[in-house]
Amino acid sequence: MKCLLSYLSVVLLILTSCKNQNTEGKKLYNQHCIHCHQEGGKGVGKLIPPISGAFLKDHEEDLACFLQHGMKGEIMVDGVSYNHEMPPNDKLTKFDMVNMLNYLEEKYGTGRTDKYNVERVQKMLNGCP
Amino acid sequence: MERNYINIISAALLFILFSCKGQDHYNLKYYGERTLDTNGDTIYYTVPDFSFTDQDGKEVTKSTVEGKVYVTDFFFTTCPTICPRMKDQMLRLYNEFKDEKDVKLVSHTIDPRHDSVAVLHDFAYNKLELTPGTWHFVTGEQQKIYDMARAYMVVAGEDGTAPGGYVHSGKFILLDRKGHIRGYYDGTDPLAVADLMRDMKTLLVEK
Repeated sequence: MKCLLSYLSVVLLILTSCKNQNTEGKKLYNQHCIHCHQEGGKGVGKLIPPISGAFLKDHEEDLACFLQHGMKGEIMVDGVSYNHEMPPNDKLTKFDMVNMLNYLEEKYGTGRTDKYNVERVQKMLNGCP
Repeated sequence: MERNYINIISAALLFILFSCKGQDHYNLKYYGERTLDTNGDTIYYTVPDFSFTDQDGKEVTKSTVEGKVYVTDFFFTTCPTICPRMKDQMLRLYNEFKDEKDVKLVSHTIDPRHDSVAVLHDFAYNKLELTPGTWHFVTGEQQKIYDMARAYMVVAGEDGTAPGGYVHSGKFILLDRKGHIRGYYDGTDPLAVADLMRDMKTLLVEK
C-alpha cells in the first residue's frame, strides 16, 4: 500500500511539474509577447511576423539573444519579409527564457517540451553579438 | 393548481431573463459636455473641425467623416507595446465594414516626425495590406494632433520614460453620423471590440 501511494505521488508530482513548465511559458507569452504576436502567434499582416516553427529551428542558437536584445532590420519568416523592430525583453530571467522557448517549441515547433535548458540558454546569451 | 403555479413562475422567470439585458446597446450614451439651445433641445458634444493628411496624401477633415459612423484612435508606427494589438483589433473592424460606404476608420499618428505620409502609406498598404477608402492613417502638426486627442477626451503625448517615447490611450472612440461621441472601447480587448462592432451596426441604422 505504501509503495502504491509513493508511486502515485511521484507520478502526480511529475505530471504536475511538467504541466507547470509549459503553463509558465504560456503565461510569459501572454505577458510579454501577445500584444505584438497576438493569440495563436498569428502576427499582424506584414507588420508583425507569426511565430514560425521553421524560424524557431533555423535560429535555434539565436533565440535567447532575440529575447534579450530584440531584433532590428529585415528578416524572413516563412518566405515573407518583415522589417519592424522587436523590442528587447531584458527583464526576462534565464528561467523565463527556458520556459518560454520550450513553450514556443512545443506549440509552434516540433512539439518537444525539453529542447532548452538553463545551460543552453546561458551559452546562447554569452555569445550574443 | 400545482401546474398553474409552475407555469406562472416559469413565465415570470423567462420574462426577467429576457428583460435583464444588462447594458443597453440600443440606446448608446452621448459623451462630453452638453448644452441646451434656445428651444430647450440638447446640443451634444462634437469635436472641432480638423485638417490632417492621410496615407494617400489627401486632406482629411470633418467633412470626410460627415454623415458616417466612424471609429478613431491614436497610435504610432514604431510603437513597441499595445499598438500592434490595437491595429490587429481594428483590422477586425476593417474586415467587417470595408464594403460599407458609411463607415470610416481614422487612426492618428502621435509621432508625425517619423510617421510621414510615405511611412503611413507603407504601413497601410504593405504592412497591413489594406485597400484604400475605409481606413485613413493621418499625420499633421504634432500639437494639432495632441489637441485632437484632448478633443476626443483621450490621452496622447510625449513621454521620455515610456517605451517608444510616447504614451497614448488604447481606446477606440466611436462617433455617430452627426459627429457625437457615443462610446469608448479598449482597443486591446477583443471582447470590447466585439461590443464596438455591434454598436457600430446600431448607429448605422439609428435615425
